[in-house]
Amino acid sequence: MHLFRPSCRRLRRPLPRAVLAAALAPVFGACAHGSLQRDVSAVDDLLRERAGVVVPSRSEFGAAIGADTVAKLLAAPLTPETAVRIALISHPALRATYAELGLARADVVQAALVANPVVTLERFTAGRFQEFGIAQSFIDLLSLPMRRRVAEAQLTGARLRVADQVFQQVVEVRHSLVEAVAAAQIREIRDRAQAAAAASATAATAIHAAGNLKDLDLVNERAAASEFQAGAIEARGESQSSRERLVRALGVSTTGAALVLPERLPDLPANDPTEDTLVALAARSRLDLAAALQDVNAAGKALGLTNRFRLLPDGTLSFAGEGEDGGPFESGPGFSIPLPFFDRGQARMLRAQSALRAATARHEALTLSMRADVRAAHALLTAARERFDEYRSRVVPLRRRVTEEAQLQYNAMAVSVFGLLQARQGELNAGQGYIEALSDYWKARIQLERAVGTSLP
Amino acid sequence: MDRRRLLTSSLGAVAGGALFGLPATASAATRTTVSHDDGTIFAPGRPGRDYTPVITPNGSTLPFKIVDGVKVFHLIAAPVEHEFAPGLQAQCWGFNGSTPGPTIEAVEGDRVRIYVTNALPAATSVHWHGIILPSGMDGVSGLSQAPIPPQSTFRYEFTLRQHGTYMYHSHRDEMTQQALGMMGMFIIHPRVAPTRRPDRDFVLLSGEWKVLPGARRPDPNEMLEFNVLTFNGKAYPGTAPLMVERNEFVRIRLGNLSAMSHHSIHIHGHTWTLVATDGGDIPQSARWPEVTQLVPVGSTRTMEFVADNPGDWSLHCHMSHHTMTQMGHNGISMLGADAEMIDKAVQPVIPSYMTMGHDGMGDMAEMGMPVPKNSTPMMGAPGPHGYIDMGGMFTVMKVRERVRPGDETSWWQAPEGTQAREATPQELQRDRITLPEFKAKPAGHAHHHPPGDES
Repeated sequence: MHLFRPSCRRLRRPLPRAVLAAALAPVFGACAHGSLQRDVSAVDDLLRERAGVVVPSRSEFGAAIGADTVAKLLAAPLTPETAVRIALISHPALRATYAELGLARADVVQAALVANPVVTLERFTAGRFQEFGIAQSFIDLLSLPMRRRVAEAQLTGARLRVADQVFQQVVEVRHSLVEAVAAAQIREIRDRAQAAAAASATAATAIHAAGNLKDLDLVNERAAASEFQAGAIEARGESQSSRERLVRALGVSTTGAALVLPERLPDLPANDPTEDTLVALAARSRLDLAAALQDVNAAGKALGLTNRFRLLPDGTLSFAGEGEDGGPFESGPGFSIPLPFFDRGQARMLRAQSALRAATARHEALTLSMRADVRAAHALLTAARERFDEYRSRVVPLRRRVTEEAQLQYNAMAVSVFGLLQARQGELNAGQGYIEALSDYWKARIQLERAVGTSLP
Repeated sequence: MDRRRLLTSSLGAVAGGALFGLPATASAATRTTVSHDDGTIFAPGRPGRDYTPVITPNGSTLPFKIVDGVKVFHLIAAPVEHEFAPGLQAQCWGFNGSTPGPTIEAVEGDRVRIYVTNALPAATSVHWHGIILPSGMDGVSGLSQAPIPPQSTFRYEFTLRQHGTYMYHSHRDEMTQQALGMMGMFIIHPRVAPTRRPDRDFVLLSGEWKVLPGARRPDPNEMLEFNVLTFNGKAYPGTAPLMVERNEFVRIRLGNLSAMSHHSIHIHGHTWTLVATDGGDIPQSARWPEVTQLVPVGSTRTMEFVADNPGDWSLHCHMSHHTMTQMGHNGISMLGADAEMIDKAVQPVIPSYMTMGHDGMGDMAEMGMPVPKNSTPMMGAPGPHGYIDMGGMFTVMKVRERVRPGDETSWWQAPEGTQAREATPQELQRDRITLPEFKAKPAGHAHHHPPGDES
């Protein structure tokens, strides 16, 4: 913005006041707050379509309504739905994410503002000469609608990115819940395996004391029991740590130990969507993809804006007056504009074109990686389902049969107490495989939701 | 045949060569083979008249018909679903629907024609163990004959020039076919009846098998760890008792076609005398009394005695593991172990667990715990005074004044004063018996039931 110097040219044409007022009204009258609420609602709408849970209402500042329900939700065993709800209500990181809407909105408001007019007053007391002037950049006014469109396009992108971040958090909560429940179940199994190994060592101690067992066998049993003990300790650590990771994902102030977890992972849904369905769904649902597309859109608009004003990036209308004490006071309009002799906007154009090319290529790259992500997650999902089915239908029932048959053989004195406990270990091992397969299924499903960009039915 | 004279009695036999069954002579003592040039033809011996038929407990005698003066038998080798003892069955191979096959019974001098039909999936042959006959009739596959292919019938025919206790068994792929039960007894009665025929003439063929608890087929590859030991294919309590009347003259013919084990067969309540092997009669002067007779693999021993001691007497192999059935020799001995300590540790992991064997095996069989399908407790059956913790090669000889129907399942009632029982304090005092100090025993662990067992 240039201050019109009276020594430069004088513009004598008066600028109609009405035009100015009309141009400036929407700018000065714009209320950012009402629109911020709209941004928040827009984000929540995007989430409602994707999160697969009831999304709580939220104030324009990103604070969810219903914080009082969090304590109640935490008191009952967590479900994927209640866990996500808790995070949506109480996670400060989400409030920070929502606050980014305000930053984007501020850019929009800023872009829609016209540079303030500059008033200059000069008085030379020696010569009793007075001068005043008011200057206003007119290019700002001319570019205002286009600048607003660019900023709004960027705001739409920002809404998509914020919604994507919230969605990622939702998925993270589910993932952490699966890990915590699986870790608790595996911990229980490892404890039981440890108890079986300890029982084996106790039996060995008693049989050895009776004189029926070599030292080698006794020491072997004790070493095994100790190894199982180490395994149980490891599982305990993993379980405790996973609870804390869940607390982190929920964004609550409670401790991991205080969380009430469900007893077991949910069973598999009846079937999984096909790969083709998922790839198509991903193209419609991925928020980061939509944001990347919006970047292309905004870069295109920015290029248009740059192109429109490439030769005249700046220009000022002014009105100035001067006079001497007692003398006549003369006034008149002025106009200043830089002549595009040297800087004809080549650099600005190159910048804008490059930004558009980069945005387009990024969108294309994201489209490709999205498809691969979906296929990769789908492969894991399918394998995990089959593996789980193998454990549920065959491994676990067969291992249970092994224990039953070993018990009969023990009764027939064809298998020792050690053989019997070994059969039980095999059963517990199968139980662990069952839980790992089930948790891998859910983790793959959550990974798939990430890849598709929406929760799956 | 038709040019030969048919004699109706042994008394008309030409005394040219050796006449077996006569009291041992110097010529018989030096004989190593039978003279086949004699050519004497005897009328086929008749059961009940020329001989007292043998009793094969749990078994049968092979029927025959007489065609042109020849005794014609028919053996059919085929797979058989065999029961060793109640609850324990296996896919075996046998003859005419059983293992061992039916006892073949004939008389010295008989011409026998034995058809062998092979209904097995494998080729086979039959060797007439201990019987002196033409080389081509000896049944050794590959050496004396071609193997009998499946679905074929071979004819064996020879004249019996000896008497005694013999056997028949497969002589092709013996490891497999004998392990699966292809064997039987072959009894040849003397043409000249002895001074006293036995009142009861029992045939017991020993065998051993490897059938893991829960398995359904004997394992022919086993060399050492046999877990089913049988008399006539039965393990106690599957063995039928030997019913005898008091003062009867009893003969017990013991055969052994176990794969790897000799057996010391022990009789209770009597002494018996070894009178013959599968090599022939033992001269009177060379016999000696026994209570336990070793029967090596692939031989027979014929024992005689007078059953003059009434009661229920066990007759069994004295090798202790041969009187166990399917007992796990793989488990670890729990003898002397602190059962409470083990139970307390293991029961939280396996609720149905209970320590066994810490006081020995005597109570094992009575526990009535569930055992694998198709297996039998390692020993025993309920007896008149508690559990009889014997299995395998164990049977009972019941000597009674008169054998009546139903006696097979009745128990000996001991007359007053002839039964061991707990000594009274008065008796102990009278005979100045001092007892050791006993510590009070904790509540009997051995008799508790596994938790959750409501029975």
